[in-house]
Amino acid sequence: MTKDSPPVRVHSIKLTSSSGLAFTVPDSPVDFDQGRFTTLIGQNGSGKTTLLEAILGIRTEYAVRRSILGSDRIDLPNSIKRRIGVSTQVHSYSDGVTVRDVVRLHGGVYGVPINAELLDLLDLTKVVGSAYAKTSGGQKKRLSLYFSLAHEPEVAFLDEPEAGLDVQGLEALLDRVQERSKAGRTTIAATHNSMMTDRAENVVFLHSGDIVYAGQKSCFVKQYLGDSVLEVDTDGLSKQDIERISLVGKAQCFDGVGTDKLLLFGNDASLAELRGMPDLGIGQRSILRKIKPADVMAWINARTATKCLP
Amino acid sequence: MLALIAFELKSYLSNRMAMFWTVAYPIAMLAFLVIIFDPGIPVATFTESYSFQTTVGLVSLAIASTALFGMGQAMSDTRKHRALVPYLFVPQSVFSVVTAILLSRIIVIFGFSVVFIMGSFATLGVDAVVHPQVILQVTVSILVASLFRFALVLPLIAVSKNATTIISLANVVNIYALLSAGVFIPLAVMPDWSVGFITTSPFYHLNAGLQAAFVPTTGLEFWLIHFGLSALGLAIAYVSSSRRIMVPA
Repeated sequence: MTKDSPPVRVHSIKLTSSSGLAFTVPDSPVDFDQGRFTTLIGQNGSGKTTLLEAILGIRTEYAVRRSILGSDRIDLPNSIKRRIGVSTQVHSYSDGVTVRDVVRLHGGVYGVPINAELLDLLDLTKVVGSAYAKTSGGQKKRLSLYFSLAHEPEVAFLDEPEAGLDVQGLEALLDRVQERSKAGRTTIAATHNSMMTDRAENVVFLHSGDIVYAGQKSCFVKQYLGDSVLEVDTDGLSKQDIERISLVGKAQCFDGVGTDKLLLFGNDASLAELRGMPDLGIGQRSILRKIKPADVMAWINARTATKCLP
Repeated sequence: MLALIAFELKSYLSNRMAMFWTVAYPIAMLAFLVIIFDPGIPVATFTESYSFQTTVGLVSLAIASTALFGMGQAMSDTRKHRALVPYLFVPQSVFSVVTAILLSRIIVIFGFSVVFIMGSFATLGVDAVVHPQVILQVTVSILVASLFRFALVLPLIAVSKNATTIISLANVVNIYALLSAGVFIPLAVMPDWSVGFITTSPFYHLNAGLQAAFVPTTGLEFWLIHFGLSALGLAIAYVSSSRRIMVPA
């Protein structure tokens, strides 16, 4: 890796099997910048996990041209493996071992002492003597996070790290990720979580295997959504009225939490104008506000996101 | 490497199916064979006795079944549950990881074999010679037999997508191993046309080598065969050590 090249760069991903998700990588390589927290975002089935695992060489059905910390070998050399950490979505150990065995294994293979602070942060200290088979799914996930982060890797690949964490746990993990960024370490996470994406500096947006966007999150939001959102209460409106309202704005989706709120995205001025249009009749039943991370994730997770793609 | 061996050792000892093939199966077979088939004919030396030959043959069988069925199935199951994926990213080569897995199995089967041989000899009244050279030869013979047979399973795991395929392929290898090892069917009673088929089998030499190891007068051939088979086992393990062994198909 030269001084200017990013720690992770993806040139191409080719499906070599007759079945599987075909990826489209932009003409210019996809870079994961050093010292940045990047989230892979997209709807279910868009290829976030597959992309992460293809980059790591877990998916043998893909021929991947990429570099990790300067190495383009799929079987990374030990010197590079020592500098990365990986937590996959399904990460398991044999049932007969204990949590302590896994923690010791980590210390043994990486040659580092037990990271008691991280064990605490991940709320694993109290289950360290438990049989792995008897731990909950969340605890297994957190143990996998311990294994991927306890040796302070330069690049961490995390697949849905939020899965086993409560809000406090996720906050603590995100603080940790922020500290990693300050120390120049890179974190890449596939996620559906708005808290994760809120703290991310960069995003890679996927749609059905197409890497639609890779870059700064602020530019992504501005490019696809704008800077504001008009939150329209659709309670009592007819289907035709909702469809008519949905056609305006730069992008739109329901808020994804089971309420009747339709979110219209755009810039502040254009949304204010929409709000005032008498034929739409949404002045009284709408609120104009700045975009929140949850709005972005609601749009990404909603089917309407695809309508706005180039 | 030591951390991996210790971890794999614990994983293996807690796998009930693997323990069945390693421990319960040979003990049950020994009891069955001795009770049903022991002719009880007096012999000149202990190496000619039915109990000795059956015990040694069952050690060979235990190693084969542990390798083919115990390890093959266990690794396939752990691979299916992605329990080998974390190993892809530890700072060790795939060959080192595979070697650690093999060593953990070899330690268990070696320990079991020693206990099994001593226990069987004591129970069945086999008056074996205790001599430093015998101890060395038996140790080498068990270790080489284990290494070779465990290594032989690795290509099966690499080319198979699931445990069913591994077990099917393992059965094919096992039938060849059983027929050619001379454990249950002595070479003397086999037809002439099959002698070449049997004497070129590594399983025949492994079993014959283990029997010969109990006599403190082995020659160069013993050491050459064991050196050759251990080198072949290591070569198979090296060639088979790829990502395919670690990641679910």
